[in-house]
Amino acid sequence: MKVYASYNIKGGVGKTTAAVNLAFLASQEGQRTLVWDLDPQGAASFFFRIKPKWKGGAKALIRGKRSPDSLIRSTDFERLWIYSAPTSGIAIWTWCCLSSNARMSGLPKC
Amino acid sequence: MTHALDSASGGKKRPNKRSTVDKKTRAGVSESIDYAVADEAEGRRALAALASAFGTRRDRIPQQSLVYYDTFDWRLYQRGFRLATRPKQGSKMLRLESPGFSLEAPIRNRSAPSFGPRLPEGPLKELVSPVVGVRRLLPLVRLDTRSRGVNILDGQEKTVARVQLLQAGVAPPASRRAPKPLSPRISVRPVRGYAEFAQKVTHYLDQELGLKPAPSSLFEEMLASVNRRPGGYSSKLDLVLDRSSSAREAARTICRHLLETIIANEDGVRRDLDSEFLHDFRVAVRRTRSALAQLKGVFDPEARRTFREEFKWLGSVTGALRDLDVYLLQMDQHRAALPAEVAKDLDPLAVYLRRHRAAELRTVKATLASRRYRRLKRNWRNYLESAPPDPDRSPYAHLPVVEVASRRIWRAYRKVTEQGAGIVDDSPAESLHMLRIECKKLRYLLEFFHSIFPAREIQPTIKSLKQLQDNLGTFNDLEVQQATLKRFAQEMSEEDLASVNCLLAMGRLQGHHDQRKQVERQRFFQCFAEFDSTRNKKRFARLFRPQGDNQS
Repeated sequence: MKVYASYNIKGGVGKTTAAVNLAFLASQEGQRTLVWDLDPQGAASFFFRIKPKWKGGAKALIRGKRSPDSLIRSTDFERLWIYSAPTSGIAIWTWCCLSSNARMSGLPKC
Repeated sequence: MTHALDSASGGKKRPNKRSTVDKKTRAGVSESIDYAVADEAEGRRALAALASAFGTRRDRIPQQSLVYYDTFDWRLYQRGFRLATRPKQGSKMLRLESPGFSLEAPIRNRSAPSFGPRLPEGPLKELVSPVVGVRRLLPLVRLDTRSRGVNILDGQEKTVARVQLLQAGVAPPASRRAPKPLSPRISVRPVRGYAEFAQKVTHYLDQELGLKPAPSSLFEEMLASVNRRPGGYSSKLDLVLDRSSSAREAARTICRHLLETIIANEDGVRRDLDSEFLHDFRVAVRRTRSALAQLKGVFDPEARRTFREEFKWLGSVTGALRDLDVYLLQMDQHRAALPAEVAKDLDPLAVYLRRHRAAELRTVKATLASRRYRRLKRNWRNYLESAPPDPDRSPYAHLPVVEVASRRIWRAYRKVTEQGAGIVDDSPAESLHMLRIECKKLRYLLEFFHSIFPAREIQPTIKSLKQLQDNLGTFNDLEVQQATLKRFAQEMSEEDLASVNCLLAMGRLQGHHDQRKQVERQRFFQCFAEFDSTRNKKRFARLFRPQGDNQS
């Protein structure tokens, strides 16, 4: 698997814009594509007119009472979804899952 | 937005706080919901009403033509998959629909989908190919749709539900005829993460417009309109017999069902669509033969003798083709068993197999067209439908089926355990072969009559037998393959097809078969011990032992 990163310490240079557009192009080519929005600004969600749910839910996720699948939403485009988790609690939980293989099973299957 | 979400989590409040979080996320609909509308005008009125009640945007949906595919035994349908091609629009696409997701894959070559391994590489193939197995994908029906779409928007103008007025027409896949129109329907498709909005829309259509849900899904209606029943064919023998019927009644139901299976597979054999048509055909023939042999005293002796002979003929004239099919299907496995540089030496064998297969196929086709075969079918059907036989000549015909079935199964079971117990390390291969035949008889009887015994009791008996059969079957397959491989080698050298390298590669294959045979032989003792366990013995005795028979 190849990983591409768009990064810069400066804000407003087009990191999110590039990522969102790459995701759109991938979905147009027939790939099932999921955008992970773990940025507290929620800018990627904003691109798709998706209003992130700011109200918690992290507790339920950690306790396994809520499925992270519920954080995935359809965009207006085919084959393109967004995992919208801009609140710090959920974002931290997700990062923890990603960095420990043991908890990976808790993450949504895309 | 004028219509409030009706609370799905309403009603009694649970004391547990956490569960309400989960419930809220689950509220709303996740599958699309269809409503029946009388005609296009009513549908358009409904869309206009939605536009005035919600924020909406027109969604232009191009006219579509889809050809749906499935295997003869509905493998995709059983798995919840729907596979279609879009033959008309620009580039050809394959589309897979399943509850919860859909996938598309471009088709590079122009041909229609056929076998799993030939599908275009990608996630679609990975999902479909294992389900389809060795069967061919056959076109079911063509669906032409014209739809008007409306997207329901939220305050951000994000699409939160999709509504379509669908007008569809159905035609057989290859026909040029104008499609037969289906009744129009309004379909509400939820958008993931926004299920509550779809629920608002359905609530509006239900309550305000008084629309009724469509009685069946578009897919079902489409198949019904061309007289296809999804799941209508299965190679499994899943008959439900009446416990109180007579042995003859039950035998008749079983044999008639088997005859239908034979007839259903004829066309696929004739057109050589895939190898399983002939296989299912032959299994049904063998089951019929087994029923005739095992249910002595249920059929009258004279008819029993003639039909046994005729079905034996039918089995043997189709046998050579099946042998070649098996070898061709396993060709990849055979190649994989040899080192890479030797594997390609087997190519002349594949050539030889294909050539002979073509000849055998002609024989089988001629058989299916022959007068003898047609007469057999006619006479057999007439016999099954005729008046019950003379009680003097078929003494068991009028007994309750449970009695006859139990007795026959018990007898077959005793035979298996007796013969199996006699097998030792250096028993000839022949004795394993004989045991395999006895197991098969027992298996067929269990399958014929499973519905008149309690399912919880009989399923484990079938399962335990199946494991033993798998072991014996593999051993026998290897045995037969060694014999046929030897014959092939001889015939190939007579036909000047055999290069020295090919013969050497075939020799190595023989050695490989030998090794596997040894493994299966060792495994036999364990498999048989499991079948012959005390628990299983008790189970068989409880189910089938006739009263007064005290032998264990």
